[in-house]
Amino acid sequence: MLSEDKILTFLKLEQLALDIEDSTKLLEQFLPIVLEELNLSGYPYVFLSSLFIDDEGKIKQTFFTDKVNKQTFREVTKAENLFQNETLFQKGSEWEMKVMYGEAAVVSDVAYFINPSYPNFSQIRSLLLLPIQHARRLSGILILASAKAADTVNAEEIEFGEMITRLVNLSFRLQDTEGSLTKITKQVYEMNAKLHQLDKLKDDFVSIASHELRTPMAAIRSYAWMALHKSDVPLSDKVERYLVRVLMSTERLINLVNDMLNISRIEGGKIEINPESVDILSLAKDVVDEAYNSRGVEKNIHFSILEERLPKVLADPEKLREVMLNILGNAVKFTAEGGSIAVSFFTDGKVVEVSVKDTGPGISKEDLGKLFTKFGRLDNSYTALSTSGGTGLGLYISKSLIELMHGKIWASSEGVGKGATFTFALPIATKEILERVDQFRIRSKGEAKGLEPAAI
Amino acid sequence: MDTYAQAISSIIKEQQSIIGPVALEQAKKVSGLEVKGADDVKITGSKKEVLGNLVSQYSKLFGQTSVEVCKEAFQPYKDKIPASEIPDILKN
Amino acid sequence: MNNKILIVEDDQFLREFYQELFMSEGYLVDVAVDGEVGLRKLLEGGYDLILLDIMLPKKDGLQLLRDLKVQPPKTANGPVVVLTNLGQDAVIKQCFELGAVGYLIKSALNPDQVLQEVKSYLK
Repeated sequence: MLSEDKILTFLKLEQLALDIEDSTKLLEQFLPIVLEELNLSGYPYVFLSSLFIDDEGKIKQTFFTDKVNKQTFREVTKAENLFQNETLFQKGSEWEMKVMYGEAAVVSDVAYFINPSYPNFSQIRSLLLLPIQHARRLSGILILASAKAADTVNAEEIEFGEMITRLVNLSFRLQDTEGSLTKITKQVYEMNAKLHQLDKLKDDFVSIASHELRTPMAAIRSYAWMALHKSDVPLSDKVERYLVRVLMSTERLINLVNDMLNISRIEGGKIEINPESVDILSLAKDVVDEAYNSRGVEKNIHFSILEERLPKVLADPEKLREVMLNILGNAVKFTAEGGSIAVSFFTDGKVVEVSVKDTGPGISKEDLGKLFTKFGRLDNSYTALSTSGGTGLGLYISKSLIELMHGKIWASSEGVGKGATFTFALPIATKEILERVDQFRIRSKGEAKGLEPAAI
Repeated sequence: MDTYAQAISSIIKEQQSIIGPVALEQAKKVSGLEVKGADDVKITGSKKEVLGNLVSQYSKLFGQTSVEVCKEAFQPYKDKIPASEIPDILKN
Repeated sequence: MNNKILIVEDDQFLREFYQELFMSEGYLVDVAVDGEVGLRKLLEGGYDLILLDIMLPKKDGLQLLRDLKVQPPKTANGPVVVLTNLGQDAVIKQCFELGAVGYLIKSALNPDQVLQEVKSYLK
């Protein structure tokens, strides 16, 4: 049993270990304190060293502190030149056996361990070797160099040494963990910084590329239009057809650039959602008018709106308008001449659903799943692509916007040849919701951007 | 907010975009700096010192890369502050 | 006998463009709007040259070439030339391994060049 003063010394050292602020340098600061306290407790050890080994017994880390003179202690250094052997536990000697099995050992063969060039070599008469264990395996040794002979070492000294060893071990664990944590944190930070930079580069690229693309596009479109409408010579049917195709293709391209810009902004979190109370019926009527006047009239499509008394919905009016233009535009694109498009509503007190039903080619079951993905072109719809100016991205954009507005969007169809219905639902702008409207607001990360115009 | 406060706010926001909420937590640990939010900072100590301490705080945890990030965020404010009033850690 | 060309291309404008171009040169032209129709026509056979787009609905160009290997046509066909866009190198390589003899980059060639290429494959 240890004497009271030894226990007090131990407790004091424990507290001192905890007082050290920078855990990544714990042992460097702690070991000299330990050596000093041991000296003050009546154990004038010449040096203290802790070696940590790997699974093969090779020394992987060392700490060393000694007394330069009675009062000061040399800073902890890695003692590469001090120890004779790189690998311990090779010869199966008695001390090795003891230490490997968790028992302290005292050796007199100092020269086996220590390089005689060590300045205080002659002062050392014996070495107290204390095993350091981790996960029930030997992970290192604490070496205390004594000026006294091996046979003077008693049970109390060994017991005290073992307690100190446990403290050193825990401190090392703490230092190691803290070190790993610091390293990992820095690595994670660096990766994130790189990602952040890539993100910025991507945004710059998309902006510049879009601008660069649109400039020659504008030129092509303008000249094609002039050739078609302002030609100073009458155009043959063939040439007129060619120019019409040029114009339609440039329009398709411009829409594609706009859609890609929008997707980049949505995915990059640069789109703001500013929800307010919106009269969806009146918005629907507006959009239907626009769809009719731009494309519906030439295809002789019949539009109908099933009017109802509806509560106002919570939505960003600008984004909602884009969504409706997209859905109605698709309906017009895919409905044949003389077909009809019907807009209807439904409410259950929590949401308002808006449905757009067309008499177009319909959608097969397998294709329903592909609809709202990027370029999820349906095998049956490719026929419309050249001539419609569509991009295959509209529904993906609509879905993204509706979901940002806490809504849902889906499609249904009875099958090929049986038309399709596109429905979206948005929350009703109840008094309670309007009171906490800021919770629904979405700010952009970085500079906010608007949406490029959708195409019908 | 004066120039220093603006610069500090800008640095905090840039760090947030890389490492998230930890950036704000770390800023709150800097003495002489009152941080209620990334946009709401008040310097109560020596401006040059506080600015330097903020950068050091990030540097301790995240390493040299974070110092570069601070420098970048500080760039627009560099010309508005005399060179002698810029902490060494932010100088190239 | 005039050469008979099959164009398998889903984009309407491009398909009709090639059709017009080759017809004005005096070739007989047949078209297919997707991979299924394309395969059907190829199995009937008798084409002197096939221009095959890679990205097709219903069955893409690669799959079509694989199917052709398994089932021979009723009447033999001439070479298959792949219609591609830039950046499809890996796929083009696979097409060659499946028997294609050449490729045309749709966006890079003007009509004169397209005709030249086609003529060289028809020799």
